[in-house]
Amino acid sequence: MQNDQRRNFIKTMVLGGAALQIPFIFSCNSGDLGIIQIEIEDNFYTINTTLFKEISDILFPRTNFSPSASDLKADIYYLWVLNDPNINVVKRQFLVKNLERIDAYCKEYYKNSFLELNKFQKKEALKKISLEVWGENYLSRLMTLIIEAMFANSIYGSNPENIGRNWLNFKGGYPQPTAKNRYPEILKINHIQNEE
Amino acid sequence: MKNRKTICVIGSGAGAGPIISELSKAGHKVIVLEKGPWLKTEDYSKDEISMTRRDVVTPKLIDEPNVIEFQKLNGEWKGKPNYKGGQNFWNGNVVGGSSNFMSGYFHRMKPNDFKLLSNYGPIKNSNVVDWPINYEDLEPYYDKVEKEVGVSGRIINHKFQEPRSSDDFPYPPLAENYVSELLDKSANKIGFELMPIPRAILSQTKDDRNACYYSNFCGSYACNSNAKGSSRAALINQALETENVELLSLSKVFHLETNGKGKIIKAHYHSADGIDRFIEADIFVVAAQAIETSRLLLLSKNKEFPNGLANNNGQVGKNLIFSAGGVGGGIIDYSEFSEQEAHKLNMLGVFVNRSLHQFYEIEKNNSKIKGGIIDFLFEHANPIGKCIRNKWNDDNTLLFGEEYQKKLLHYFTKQRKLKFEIFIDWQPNDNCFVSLDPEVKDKWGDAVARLRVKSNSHDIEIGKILAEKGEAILKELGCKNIYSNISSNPPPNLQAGGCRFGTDPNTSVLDINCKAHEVENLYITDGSFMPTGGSVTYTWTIYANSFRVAEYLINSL
Repeated sequence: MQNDQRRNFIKTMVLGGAALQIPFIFSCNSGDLGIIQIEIEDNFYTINTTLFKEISDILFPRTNFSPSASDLKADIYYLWVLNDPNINVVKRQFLVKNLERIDAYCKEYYKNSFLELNKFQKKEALKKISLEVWGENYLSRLMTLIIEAMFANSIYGSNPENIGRNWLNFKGGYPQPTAKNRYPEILKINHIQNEE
Repeated sequence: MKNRKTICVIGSGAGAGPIISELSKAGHKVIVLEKGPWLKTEDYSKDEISMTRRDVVTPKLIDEPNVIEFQKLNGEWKGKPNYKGGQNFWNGNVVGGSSNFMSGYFHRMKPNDFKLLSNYGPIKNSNVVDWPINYEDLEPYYDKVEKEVGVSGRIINHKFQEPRSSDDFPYPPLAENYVSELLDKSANKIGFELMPIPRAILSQTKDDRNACYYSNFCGSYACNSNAKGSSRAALINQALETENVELLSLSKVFHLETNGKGKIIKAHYHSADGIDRFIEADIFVVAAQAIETSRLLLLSKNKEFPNGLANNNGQVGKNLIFSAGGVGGGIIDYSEFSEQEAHKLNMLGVFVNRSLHQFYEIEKNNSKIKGGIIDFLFEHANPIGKCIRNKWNDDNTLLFGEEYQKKLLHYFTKQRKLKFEIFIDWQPNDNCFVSLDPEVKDKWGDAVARLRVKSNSHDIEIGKILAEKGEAILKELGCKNIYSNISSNPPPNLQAGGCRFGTDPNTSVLDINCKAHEVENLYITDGSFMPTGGSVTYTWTIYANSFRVAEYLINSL
């Protein structure tokens, strides 16, 4: 799928109200989703997924012993969380709005957008931002999302082939979730007495 | 059956299970109203995302908040809904309640716990009282829990071993990690003696329940072999086979209607389809967990009970207690052990199961005061939680990048954290209670529980004494980075009190059989009845008392 086509596909999907349908996002694979639009409680937000990936790969880079946030498909996980109507609206808006705030911070202090900074400046900027109250809150939350993406069963669209678990020699418990009882499908389960 | 009665049970956790099971087996009709959905064993998995990172088995706080009070510097109490931050007191809103997700560390209360006031005297700012029954009254039911719910372990006699009617547990102890042996040796070297912890986990098959398969994901998760003695797996499933049980899930009771003569006639509930319905019954048993049980009584006010059901003495919601104390731990660095030992220490799934009872009573200023116990365990296997706790530098700034990843690699592959949990008596006091919030409503429009949960400074003092003992054992074992944290915060999953039982109707809500003094046909069988909690987790006592009340009901109906 070409990038433009993929972008349109994602855009149509979220606007179509098919929130939380992981396979749709999953089928697009990670790659470069570019700029997409997302709906949270009747408000539309533009998300630069390239910006997210660059930031998350500094928070969690690829090393000779570990995968990166991009390898873990943290961006797919991030979009999945943003589309989850069960998660508090304020928390999801926080995740979106502060991504742009990082860019605004760089434009103010470096006179350039984050993506235009060199590698050293990007790291330096995130370090400085992490010392601000809002910045620490936001980057800490992104770290948590990356961590969740790292250990989630790949049924959720991240952690392909268990690369997030394998580098830490982590063995998950069994049974693992299936399409029937993963989140959010599990929320729909309610047996009734004498059911067939 | 002659004289068949209808029993309406509100809730389906540990306090409800024995009632559902015993009354249905006795031939009575039992209608269970559970606010959460009905999930069966096959519906659960060891999925950290759904079970611990999302609100799957508890309601969203925006829909069903509590208002938590905090004390300002000027002493004034203010309330804040916990969807704006604060502790979440919901636990397992599903069939079987929070017993599905317990770790099953099972301790009996000890004989002295039933007479704290008589044995140890009053404590400043504490409403400590004696129980109206003795240990001997509850012992047969502790024994019954061992057999019916299934408790595994082994008895080693010691100074504070509770008297028992059975020689040993019906199920042998679960497999243990090598660290248990090291803990025993370390404790002995410094003059302490550790005891095996009984667990409500089957080590052998029982009926259609399989033995533990050592999944390594026990607490916070439902059991996939039914080895864990949840109310659902151990009691309700069997009760359903009697065909005397009607189980209505997604049925949230919001009002108990009385007939103007001190008798409940209907339980009104919000049903899954959005329609409010009611159940009529002869007997009503409430076991919705302590906070929600008090809330339901307070919500059920009418002309007859203007302050809430069974609350004409103003005692409902008062003297809420928690099983609390503190935590501690240390790091077992594999490099300090042989390769073979490190391999054994890294064995996953098998248990630590060691507890220190030696300081259940402490000598202080030439007098004896009540102490507590310490349970030893490994850090929970949940990796996401471990990673989140490690994302901070020593100076509390955010750690990220390759340094963070190196830290994780070391944490996950070169060491293991050994922890201890301290349990002491939470002193019942005037600043720990449930009321109704005058403003905040839940998604159905019902007033939510407002909680004031202040602890007594005495508890902190005892916790610190015990923490020293736990740290000393870890030090002797060779742990690094040893720490402890004695906290006045209540553990939301270990709640009791609010509807004390007692002989005086002016100072208690329930009588000796857990029937409300003021209401002819209302029984409360979750932890609400407990005036004090002992220095242990409550579940075994809740189960035992519920079996006791069930027997009383069967004999009296």
